[in-house]
Formats: sequence, C-alpha cells, structure tokens
Amino acid sequence: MFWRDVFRLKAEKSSLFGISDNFFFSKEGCLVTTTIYSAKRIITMNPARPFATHVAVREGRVLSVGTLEEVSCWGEAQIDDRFSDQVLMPGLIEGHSHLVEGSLWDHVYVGYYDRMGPDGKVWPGLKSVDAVVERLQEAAAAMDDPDVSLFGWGFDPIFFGEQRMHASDLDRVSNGRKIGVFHASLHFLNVNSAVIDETDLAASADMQEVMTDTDGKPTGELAGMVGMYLALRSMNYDLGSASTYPPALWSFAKVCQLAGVTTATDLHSPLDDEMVTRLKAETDRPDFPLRVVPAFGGTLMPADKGAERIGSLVDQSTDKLKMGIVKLVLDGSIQGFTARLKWPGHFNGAPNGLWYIAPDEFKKTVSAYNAAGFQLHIHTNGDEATEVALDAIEAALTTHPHPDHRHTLQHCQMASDAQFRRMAALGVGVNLFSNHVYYWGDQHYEMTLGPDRAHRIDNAGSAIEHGVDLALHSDAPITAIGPLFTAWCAVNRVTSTGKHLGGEAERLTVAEALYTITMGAALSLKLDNEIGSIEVGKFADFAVLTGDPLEVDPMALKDVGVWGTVVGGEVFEAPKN
Amino acid sequence: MTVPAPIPVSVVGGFLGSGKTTLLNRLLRENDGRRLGLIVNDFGDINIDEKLIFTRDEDMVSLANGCICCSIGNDFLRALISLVTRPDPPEQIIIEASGVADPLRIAAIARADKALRLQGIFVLVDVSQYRKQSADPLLADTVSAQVHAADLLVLTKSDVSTVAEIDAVGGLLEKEKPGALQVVSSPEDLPASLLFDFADATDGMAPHSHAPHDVFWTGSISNNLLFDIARLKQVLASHAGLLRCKGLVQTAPRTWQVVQWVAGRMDVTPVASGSAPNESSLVYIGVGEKPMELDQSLTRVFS
Repeated sequence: MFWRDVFRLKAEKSSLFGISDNFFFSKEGCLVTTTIYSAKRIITMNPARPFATHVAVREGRVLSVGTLEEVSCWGEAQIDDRFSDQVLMPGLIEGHSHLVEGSLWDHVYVGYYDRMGPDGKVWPGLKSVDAVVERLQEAAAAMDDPDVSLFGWGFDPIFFGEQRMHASDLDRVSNGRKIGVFHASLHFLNVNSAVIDETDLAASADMQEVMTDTDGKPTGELAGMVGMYLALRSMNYDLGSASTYPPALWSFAKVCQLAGVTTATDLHSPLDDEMVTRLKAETDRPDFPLRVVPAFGGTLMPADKGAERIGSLVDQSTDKLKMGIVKLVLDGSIQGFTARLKWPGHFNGAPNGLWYIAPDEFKKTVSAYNAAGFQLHIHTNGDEATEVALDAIEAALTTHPHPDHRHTLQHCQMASDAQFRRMAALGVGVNLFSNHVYYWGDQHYEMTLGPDRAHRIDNAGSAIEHGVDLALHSDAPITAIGPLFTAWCAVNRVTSTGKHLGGEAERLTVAEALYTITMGAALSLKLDNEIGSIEVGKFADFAVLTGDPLEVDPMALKDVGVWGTVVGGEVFEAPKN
Repeated sequence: MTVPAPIPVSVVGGFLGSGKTTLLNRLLRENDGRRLGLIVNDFGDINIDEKLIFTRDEDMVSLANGCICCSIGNDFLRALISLVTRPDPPEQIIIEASGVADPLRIAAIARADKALRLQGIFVLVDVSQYRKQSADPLLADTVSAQVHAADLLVLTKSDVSTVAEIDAVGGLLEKEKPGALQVVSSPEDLPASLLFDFADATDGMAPHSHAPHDVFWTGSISNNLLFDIARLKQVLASHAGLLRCKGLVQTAPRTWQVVQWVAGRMDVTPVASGSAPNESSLVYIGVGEKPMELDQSLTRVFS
C-alpha cells in the first residue's frame, strides 16, 4: 500500500501524466525498474524491426527494442552496457530434447565427440576403447563405496569399425564394482563381468539381445530392453525417474544455458504428480535459468484418461513451466534399424522397423487428443511412419476440425516432397533432426538408407519450399544441445567425414536457420506469442553471443561463442572454462 | 543361504483383438489359490471385482486372493522389477505383450534374470482376422514376428470362422513357423495349466472341471526307476499334440531334477537334496486325440 500511496502522491504533484522519475509500479504495487541493454547488434527475429542496438526490459519482458533514443522514451531507466561487445538474439529454443540429459551428467561421459558439461567443462571425445577404459578408471578411483555401480554414457562403437567393447575391457576398470556403459542411443548397454556373473546371460547367449564372442560367450554388450532391465535390476539405475531430481534438472538447465537456450522441451514426460511438483518447485526459483516445456506421453494411459490428465495440468502452467502438448511415438530410429520405412526398405537389407503403437490404435489416439483440443507432437522417423501419421491427422481433422492445431511431426527424417505437400495442406509442422546429417549422415549413405534417401535426410530446404512450419532439434541426450550447431548442420549439410548431403536447395541460409531455432521452434510449441523474438510484450529471453552469426563464415556458425543467457530479464553468465 | 526357486514367467502375445485380455481376465478369476503377478497393458480392460481389491494405486492393484495386477503404465521394466523384488513375490508371473510387441523380446528379459524362468510364449491368433492382417503391408511383419515367437499358437475366434477358414489359417501358420504347436481354442477354454507352473508335479494339471475342455487331455505316470531326460525329449518331440509336461524325476541315485516342457521349450533344474520324494512322476497335457502309445512310450523313459 505504501508504494501505491507514494505513486498517487507523485502523480498528484506532477502536472504530467507521464511522470519522468524512475519509479514505476506493477499491478501488484511493487517497485519496478527498467533496464536498457545496449548491444553490438540485436537480431530480433521481428520483421518490423529486424535489427537494433538497444532493448529495454521491464518486469521480465521486452518493453522496447530500437535505438537508445527510441527505447528511452518509456521513462527513466538504468543503462546496462555489459553486452555492448556482444550480439543478442532471442533466447534459443530446443524444440526436442529430454530431461534425462541432465541426470546423465551425474555419470561419466565417454562419447566420441567433445561435449560440454553443466559446469562448462569440455570433455574431449574419446577415440578408442582404451581411452574409454582410462576415463572410467579415473572415475572409479574417485569412488569410495565398492557397492555403488559406475556408469558411463554416450559411447558409440559405430566409430571404431569392427572393434567392440567387451566385458574384459571394462574388467580392467574394476573387477568387483559393477560397471555399465550406455551407448549414445541409450538402446545398448555394455556391462562388466561383475554384472554378467550375477545374471543368467551366459545361459541366454542364443538371444539376439546378448552379443557373444567367437566362443559363444556373452561379451557384455546388451541390446534393447534386456540392457535397460539389468541396469535397473542389477545396478539400480532408473534412467527415467533420475531425470526429475532437482540436481538433474539444474544440470539440464545449465547445459541449456551454456548453449544459449532459454526454453527447452522434455518431449515425452509422464507428468505424474511427483514430477510436476518437482518441476514447479525448481523452475519457480528466480535463478533457474530455463523455461521447460514437457510434452505428456500420450500413450502412457488410454487417450480419454490422458486427455483428462493433461487437461488438468494446463492451468498449472507457469511462466517457466508450460504444460499442454502431447507426444506420441509411432516408430523407432533409423540408425537402430527400427524406423518404419517405405519401399525399398533398408539399404543393407535389414528387415523393416517396429511400430511402437499399432497403426489403427494410433489413429484412434490421434483422433481422441485432436478432438479434445490438444496439440500433438508425433515421433516419426521412417517415411512409412510419416505416411501413417499424416493419414491419421487427416482423418482426425476431417472428423473434428481443429483450427490452428499445429500438430507437428518430430524427426520426420525421410519425408518426401509429396509428404511435405501433405503437411502443408494439413497445416502440420515439422521439427527435423538436422544433427543427424553430421553424426549419422555417412551411415545413412552407406548402410541404412543408401545414397538417394541419405541425400534427402532432414531436408529442411524442402520444408521451407513447401511452406511447412519448420524447427530443428538435437534430441538431447542423443546428441548435444546446441541450436547453433543444429543450425550449422542445416546450413552446411556436411557429414562427419566431410560428405555433402543433398543439393543447394536443401541447405538453409544462415538467416533461415536462425529463424528456425528461435521463431520456428516457438511456433511449433504454440508459444510464439511469448518467446522466439525480441519484441515488445514477449519475455526478455536472450541468447548472448560473443560473435555475430550473420557475419561469420557459415562453416563457422557452430563456433560462435555463447556468453550466457537472459531469462525473463535475469542475466545468467556462463562459467568460463 | 538358499537361493529361492526362479519365478516362472509366461508371456502372452498376439495382435490387438486376439483375445489376450479375455484370457488374462480368466486366469485372474481362476487362479486356484496361486498368487499370480499379472502385468497388463491397461487396467481398464481387466475386470477386477471391486469387492476383491485389497489395495490399489496408479499402477498396481493387490487382490484379496493374493494376486497382484500391474499396468505397464509409465514403465514395463519397473513394473516387472517391483513384482520380482517384493518381499512376497508372486508364484507365477504372466506378462501381456502389447498388440504390436514381439513377445520374444519380452521373454528375453525373463531369460536374462536368474530370479525368473521363462515358462513359455503363448501367442493368440484371431483366425477371423489373420489373413487380412498378414496381407496388410503395414502389419504383415509385425504379425509374422509374433507367430515366430510362439511356443504355442492359440487360434482364437474359431466360433466366428468356418472350418475351412480355420484350416487355411492353420496352414498359413504352419508355413510361417513350421512345426510350431497349434491349438484351436477360445481364450475361455484354454487350460490354465498350460500357462501356470505348479507347486508340485502332481498338482493342478487337470483342466478346470467346469470348462468344456473336451479337446484337451491329460495323463500322468510315476515310477521308482531312474529317469532319462534325453529320451524324454525324444518322446515328447515325437508326439504331436503334446503341449505341456512337468516332472519331478530321479536322473541318478539321489539326484533329482524338475523337468519343465512347454510346447518344445525344455527346462531342467536340480532339486535341493532333502526334499526328494519316493518316486519320479510326470504329468502331461495335450490336445486333439490322445496318442494311444504315449503312456507306453513314456514308461520307456525310465530304466
């Protein structure tokens, strides 16, 4: 009340309505201030004002963008010049990631590529099995309790040719302690003898899940559910629930912050009461540097109950926790040979992949959520799955028109021109997995898909050409969160061995790519009224960059440095390492 | 320290609409006092009498008859582990594979865990739909993988199919998985004793009295001679129509084993000394016409 009184007093004293002191009052009656940030350049993504030098922030939102003179006309403000050598972009948006990335950082990263942890430390990529063993040895040496299992993650033998990692390699780390190493896909697990001896794997060596050596003995490399089951059963590691513990949520947020990301998705969430409580508690903290958008796993319960559940959560959303979108998974992955492909199938002759839900059931599920008014994010990797998804959406929309539904196909890596035309006609958006071009492009060319379909993988150019709303993603933890890297993939379309996939027409310009990792992703999440551009009324969410992505050589786009972020007006500087 | 006997696990697979839920509902009703652990896709389809519910939470229902029913919910693996690690684990676990799952992949888990023993993979095939499903380019490989996974194929919905149709589907299934055992039976009539293991070999093999199981038959044999497991395997394999066999047998002086055989899948586990009975015994169940010479062949397994 006190401040309201002061305000009234001042207003009475002032003959002008637009009083010129630095006191402003929010509707709650608290004192608010305005901060004007200057920057070397502000790339706004607002076509009415694409570039600027100053942005005024009030109450966590953008008040004005333009020149110093323009943004100053809202009254007195503090000028903050700390970004005067930096470039501001709208906070980057990761439209397809998973919170589990955060919990994995409690364990040892042993991937092939360099990866930055939540503390800003870069873990160099490991180029041999020996190097993996060595890093695990260091971690084991720092552990006290011999009964605690040691986990590595991010391992990918695809880069080591014929060589596989065996239990005997992991036994060099420790004989007694149980050790598990998750592959990058999370669908394979390597274990040591301490685990094998506790299980019945030796007797199960004839199963396709259990890799064996030339003598028919298990090597400790386990596929599919058997690996995940033993991680949980024998090593007490619960990948799913570990990801919602507060420290894991913070690790996730920090990994995002270091990549310039201010909004990230958890694109398949159980969203049970416990998870929602934890997410709310952490995201509510003013120093939590991320907005989180979980997508409810639509097949975790029957669709009618699911719609009820997610419906009850919409109103619990906050500025930093947005609930309401639904995720469905239709098929598997291309590199795992579990995607559903149309003719002519896999290049190496592997059988067609798996439906995660029967096409007819899927159709009913899409129809139910669509009719209940929810936006669907549908995982389709293979082109057959994409076709079934489009058929289901078309049928659902015919029965229950759903204006501005923005159903979005996630990954959708093999889409043909004809499928993009259908998406455009149905108003369906796409979020492509552009990082695949770099990480698995060579494998798609040589092994999974063959040249024709490898060239059209994640064809962002076609999406734009056909007028389909486009976003790009990392699918973290499958690949690292880094929208600038993801944009770089879509701009250059170059594989890890330097092969270019697709013609010029499939490459995005840098400007187009920057739009997809900001406004494109915001559109796909139906949050374009709040985030995605630096524009009056939206959240003051910025990526603070040390270089100008529009000025650098497109091949250097991934190397543009990230100083930190601003989320709702709060500044989060990345740790220097 | 004694290691508890592994819990038998039966996997029930089959495409949507093949009758899996009907079968599970029945097993839950006719549990014969066994504490079953059922893992189902969705509670909604299971008829649980509210009066029988002991406790209930989001993903698990405990019944007054000792059975526990888990829905896969968020996580199938967690549901299974929560059953296995209970202080009072179920005597028998039955897992319903989802309509598109390959039951073999689920069965692989049971085989990798020492605390579990795979009893068998039972795949239900809707006779009235099979030809359509196996001709659908979207579904053919999914359905085919299920057929390949089966120890026993149960041809359901025969009441809405013609004899010619049943024969035709039987032929297609034989082509798909040559030599696989097939049974034409509704999920209501399939003897529970095929899917259940039993506390002792002489218990419970008889089909349920009130159900019209005229196509199923049983038999038993006991003897105080030594028992030859290799010979048993030959005899069982040479008699079409045998579905399930269990024995507690003496294979060498003072060496006793439990023999489990379900539609070709054999398991032999040693019995702890001290609990040896007086004589070896074997019980079995089959379908169709009972082979005349079976009992006699089985006596030759003893020597």
